[in-house]
Amino acid sequence: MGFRHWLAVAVSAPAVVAAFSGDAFAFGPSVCTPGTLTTRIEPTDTWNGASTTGAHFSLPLASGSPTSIANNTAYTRYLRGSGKVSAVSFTLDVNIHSSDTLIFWGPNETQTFSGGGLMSNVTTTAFTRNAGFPGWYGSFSVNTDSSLPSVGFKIASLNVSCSPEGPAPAAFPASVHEKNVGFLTQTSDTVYYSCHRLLLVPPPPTDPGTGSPFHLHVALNHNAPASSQVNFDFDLYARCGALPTASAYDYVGYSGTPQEFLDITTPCTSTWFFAVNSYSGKGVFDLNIGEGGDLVKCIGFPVSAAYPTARKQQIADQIVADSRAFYGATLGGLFVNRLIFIDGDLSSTCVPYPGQAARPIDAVISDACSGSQTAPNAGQMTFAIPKNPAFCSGNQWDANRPYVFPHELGHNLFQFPDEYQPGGDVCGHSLMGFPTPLGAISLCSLYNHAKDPPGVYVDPGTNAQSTTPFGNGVSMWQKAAANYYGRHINMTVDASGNPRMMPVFTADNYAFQDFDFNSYLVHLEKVVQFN
Amino acid sequence: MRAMYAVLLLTTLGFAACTTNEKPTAPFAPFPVAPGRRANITPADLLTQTGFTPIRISFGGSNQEALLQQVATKVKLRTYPELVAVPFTPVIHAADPGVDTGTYGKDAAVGPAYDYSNWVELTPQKPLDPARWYVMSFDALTTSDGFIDERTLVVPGEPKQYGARFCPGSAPIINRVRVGATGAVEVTFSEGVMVDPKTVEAYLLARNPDSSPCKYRPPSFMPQGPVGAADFDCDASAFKQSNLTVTLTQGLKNPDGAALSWFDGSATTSSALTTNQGARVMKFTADCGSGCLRWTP
Repeated sequence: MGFRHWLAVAVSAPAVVAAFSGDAFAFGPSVCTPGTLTTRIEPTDTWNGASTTGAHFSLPLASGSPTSIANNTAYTRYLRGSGKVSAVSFTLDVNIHSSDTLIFWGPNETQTFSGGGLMSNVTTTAFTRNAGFPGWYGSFSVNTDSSLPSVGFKIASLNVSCSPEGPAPAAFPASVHEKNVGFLTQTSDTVYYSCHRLLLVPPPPTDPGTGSPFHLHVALNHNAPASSQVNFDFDLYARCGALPTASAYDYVGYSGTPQEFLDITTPCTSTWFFAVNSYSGKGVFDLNIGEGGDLVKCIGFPVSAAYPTARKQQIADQIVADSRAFYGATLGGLFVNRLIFIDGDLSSTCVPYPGQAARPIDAVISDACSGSQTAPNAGQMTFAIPKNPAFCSGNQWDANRPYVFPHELGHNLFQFPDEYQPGGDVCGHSLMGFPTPLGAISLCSLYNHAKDPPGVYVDPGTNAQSTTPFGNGVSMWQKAAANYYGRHINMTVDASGNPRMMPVFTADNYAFQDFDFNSYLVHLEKVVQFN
Repeated sequence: MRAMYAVLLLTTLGFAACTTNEKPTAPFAPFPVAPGRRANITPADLLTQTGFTPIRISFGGSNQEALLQQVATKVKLRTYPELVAVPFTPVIHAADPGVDTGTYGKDAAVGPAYDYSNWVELTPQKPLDPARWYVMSFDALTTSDGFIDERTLVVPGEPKQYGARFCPGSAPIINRVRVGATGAVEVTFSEGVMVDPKTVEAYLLARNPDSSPCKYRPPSFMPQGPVGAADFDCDASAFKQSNLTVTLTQGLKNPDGAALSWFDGSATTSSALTTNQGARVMKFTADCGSGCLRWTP
């Protein structure tokens, strides 16, 4: 069922009453405070503090130049603001080359920048609001050739103007599996979205504890430098069939941070409406909406003296935490919503939900000191815990090798190939590469693989050699999309198999990973059934 | 801390509530099963506190301008249940298949989903009264049109009129009850309703007058504050019977403290449930006269 929780933006209540007679619970009219909103939309300069330059060329096997056009930043990003925002200009730092273009669209204006090197602290035209729309909207995109060493560009800030006139609150259509970027100019400001999309799946069972085949997961993140994150708190509301108000909603996330996560398991046969409301502060946010089915994984531990219960608990916690990486790497496309940990081997069975029939176990933790997993293509899998070699004679695991579970899940669910090599990772940032805490947590697209240098590549699993990277010519996004439904993921890719937005090596994906997604973890059910 | 402040604030302010003085005049017809065109209506049927929600009927597909023009001539906005016309202006929005609006992605390799990016929006010429109920409806265009699901109203007495009833202001009602084979009962509300887990009571009347108590199941997250639905676990064995009644006796109230009501404004909070031999409920009728609801999935 949906749940609602009482929450009002208390400081705005008098204005609310005045704005809509009789509706004391609405968030109120559009509000706007002019000024500058710091953002980190698409910075190019750092990746977890390290330069991204040359990241595509880190393989020692590399020789020669990139094989084809990368075009690795061709996408469009949409921005939304509330109704009393009258105009927005951008201040940006961008380093684009001669054949690159950076285009901004507003409701009434367009401004294009042609490449020519580093442009710092450039301010765009002021893009004005179109009175016929429920608020301010604009977009920008960049097209590049192969010459850029990294993906993205940086918008340093949004410069917001306001006007007293504005439309009644209304909703922007939201994109699914693309980031919806918006901004709130002050406390109480609200931006609404609507999502007409329905998953045409059977209705979920109404009985308790049987799991829902329908999951609409909605993640709200801030999109601002860490220095700007203090003292702002955005909340997220969802309601089926009508705009949410402060007391009328079906789902709410209202932690004390700008990060919220909703796992919506009730199909809405009308329209989902979302409200992003500033409980306090101003800033830029990302709203990501994904959809998929119920993904439950049962993981068995060997019955061994090497695995006392406390250690199994510790490993289970790590696997739960690591599962966020798959969510981030797939832009919210894959949401593991239930993990069950039991004692067992590949012959064991597992009950996904109470009252349901037992089914074969999904995965087993390997007791080996090395190696990874078997049966990669669907079916059961065995994977090694992320362990330090010292663990074979001790009790440490390797904290520098997280993401083993989502990596192996990539093999298992989507038949992703490995994308790591002795000297580094193919495409530089793949979840299917060598997992480290500092990267290897996204998926690689055709654009990215076009940057892979020629050379001799060795399949780490089979030692087979090839003159092309194993991921070359294969978009992991496309593979994920091709398997989207039966495997619980629904990705939005273009005709070439590239995601419609590019998260790699940008703050967007950085944000996905960097933010703890504690709310995600709240909604991920961890079930421990050790003997 | 937030929640406490908000409750205090709103109990002080008070607010107007939608009321309906008349019960609807006829049982609602079964909802059509639609192989054909599907429509999406907002606000959804039987919601309150809809505020500024666009009053809209939406369709999927491309090149729908002719359809929208046709629908625009057939839409109605009226008070409910009086069915007094409310002046409005229909505004057509047709999706342009040639333009990637960034809304859904024209080349998206997405799953079996359905997008509603064409719509007719009804813009009232005067602000709606938050203390009134309204119904937006339209004529089915052909006999094969399937205008969808449980959240779409078939207007009583006008079997070809599909639509939705809504109240812009606050007037919490029970708008749906569902039961499950294992004894789960879900009662949903039109807006947030306060549930006191210590005092809420529900009784299942399996073989009248025998009854057994149902246990309230708090939401998994954030159990305090208003909820959109209340779940109860009742005696599953009784669900193999028909003509069950669940009585909610106390513990539910509007956020302002008033008693919860059914749509027709009566004070009763009991509902007769019909199960399908242990399967999930297929229908229910309430025992509050002709004004109560029937839901067919």
